Amino acid sequence: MKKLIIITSFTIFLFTSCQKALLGPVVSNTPVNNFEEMWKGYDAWYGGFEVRNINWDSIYKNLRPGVSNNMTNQQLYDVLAQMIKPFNDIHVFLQPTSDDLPRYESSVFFRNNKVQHDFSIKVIKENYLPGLTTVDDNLHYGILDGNIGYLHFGEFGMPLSFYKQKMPDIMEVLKNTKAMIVDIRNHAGGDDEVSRYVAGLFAKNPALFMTTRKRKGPGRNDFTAPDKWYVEKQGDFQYTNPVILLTTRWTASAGETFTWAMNTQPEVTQMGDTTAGGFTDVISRELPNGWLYFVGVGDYRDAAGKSEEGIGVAPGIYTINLKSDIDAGKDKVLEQAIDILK
Amino acid sequence: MQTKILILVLASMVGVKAMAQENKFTLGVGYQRTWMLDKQASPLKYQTSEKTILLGYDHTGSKGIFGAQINGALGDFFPTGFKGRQMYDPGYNDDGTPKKDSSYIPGTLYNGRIKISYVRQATSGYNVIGKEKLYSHNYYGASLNNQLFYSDNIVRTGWLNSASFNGEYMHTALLNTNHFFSIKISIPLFAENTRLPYHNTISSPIGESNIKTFFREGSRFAWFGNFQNIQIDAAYEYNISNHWSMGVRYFGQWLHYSKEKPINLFQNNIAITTSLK
Repeated sequence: MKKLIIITSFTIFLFTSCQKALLGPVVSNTPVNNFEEMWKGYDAWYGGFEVRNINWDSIYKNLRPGVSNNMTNQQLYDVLAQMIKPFNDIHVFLQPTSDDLPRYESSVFFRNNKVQHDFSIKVIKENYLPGLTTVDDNLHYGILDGNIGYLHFGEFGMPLSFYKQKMPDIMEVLKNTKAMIVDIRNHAGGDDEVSRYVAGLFAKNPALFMTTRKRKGPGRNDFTAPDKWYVEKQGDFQYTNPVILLTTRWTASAGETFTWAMNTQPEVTQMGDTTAGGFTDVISRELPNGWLYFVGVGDYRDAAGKSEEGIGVAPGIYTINLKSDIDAGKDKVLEQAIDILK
Repeated sequence: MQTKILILVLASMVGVKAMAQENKFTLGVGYQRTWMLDKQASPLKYQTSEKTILLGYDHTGSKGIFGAQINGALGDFFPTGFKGRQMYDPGYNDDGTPKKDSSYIPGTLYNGRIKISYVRQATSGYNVIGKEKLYSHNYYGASLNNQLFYSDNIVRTGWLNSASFNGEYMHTALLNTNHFFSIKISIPLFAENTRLPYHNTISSPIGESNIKTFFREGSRFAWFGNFQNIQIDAAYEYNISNHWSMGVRYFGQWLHYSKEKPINLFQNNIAITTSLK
């Protein structure tokens, strides 16, 4: 009995006190290790080296000599920013969690344009569609003068089930309009499965719109087999009257895969500006100092097998608003779309 | 020597006979700490403080013990040393100046375990300590065990489901009919383990649910060579009456799995239990 108690107690003691040994070594928090971890993280998970023509090894060779364990957090931040600057990718950014340091965007567009000035849902509600129905901050709909439907998505960030619940009622309201404007000018991204579903509500014909492959191993060319994504008819009916899809440079990620999907349908015309040029799924990873960095893991291609990473989807009709237009309460892009559909 | 063997043989017969059939229902509440290093998600070590609940049923037969147990736990989940980590707002005010507010980066670990086991008595013994009688038994058997770890933190650390077939060893000791001790060791022989794919994302081009996609893309056969998960379960119960006992239970496990990238997990749980027989 005494032996049993001793053996049991010793086993439990051994188990409870060997946490560090049982978990294995943890990378220590030094500036050098933070630099190494971030470089290795992109090396192991980023999916766009080839399509964006990034020489990742040369970036290491150029920056590593300037990294030392005597660096301050600000100096480390500056070096890490230099590391990711060449990506120019909306899905590559550094998010510090200390020292009040701001997010560093590798995307030139997002670094130079802090706030969107060419679109405002408030202007639309006040001056064009007072009857605009708000489902939530990122989903609005209504009927414009001339029996033109209006549907706005600010993102596809809710679960697919949310859209499957809301969209049938919305489409029922817009069903008998003679045309529709689908507005994704400030679409920040979300779930590609939602892109596929919502595009299916407008599908006259099933169509391939995208192939995706994602990193599956530490080699830079280790990718999964391609997955093919199709627009297929969704809902009890499909809206097949003329549609104008409005986009801008702020239309990003799942907003862009949605643009690909909608552009497969003959009744859809894309109008506005080229989209942001960042399509893939993105993951967040951590550094030993607790900072976060974000990595696009995929290689996404359109139906023709072409990558538009860093390029974006160009509209059929180019038109933009100036800041002064929106400040004056005028959405000239919307007005032009209404004129075309009238 | 021969006399001692005879006494032991007789005692073991007494011991087997003394092993009356019994059904026991157990409820336990406890506290658990989990440490995790999931290199597929993060170089940081994560830890939790979790509240736990346990529901158990044991049927002791003449030759063996059938057991079923469900455990649930949830608690804050954060990298060691970074509990209060803040995410600074990446946005800008209308005039282009950066926003200064920040928010706490949350994370919760959800952990559930379900196990059914059967152990068969292999040996038994009977000792006298002072005036008190000690009956002890050794059992060997097997179990089916499924445990799920899920976290909602920003880097998706620790997503794992493991359905394993395990070898079991158990030792019990009953002192003077009032004090019951047990220790059980469980080691998986093979398993079906599910983790996120290497790229740590889930999306389905065919409209499948995320759960279905997770299991379809992330499941692999595992065996002792690439999956180790030693579990120790030790308990003490005091029989307050013939039908009711109270006790304490310790559970600890160490898990290592190497696919896609290694995950190491270490867990300790202590619970107060009450049992009805």
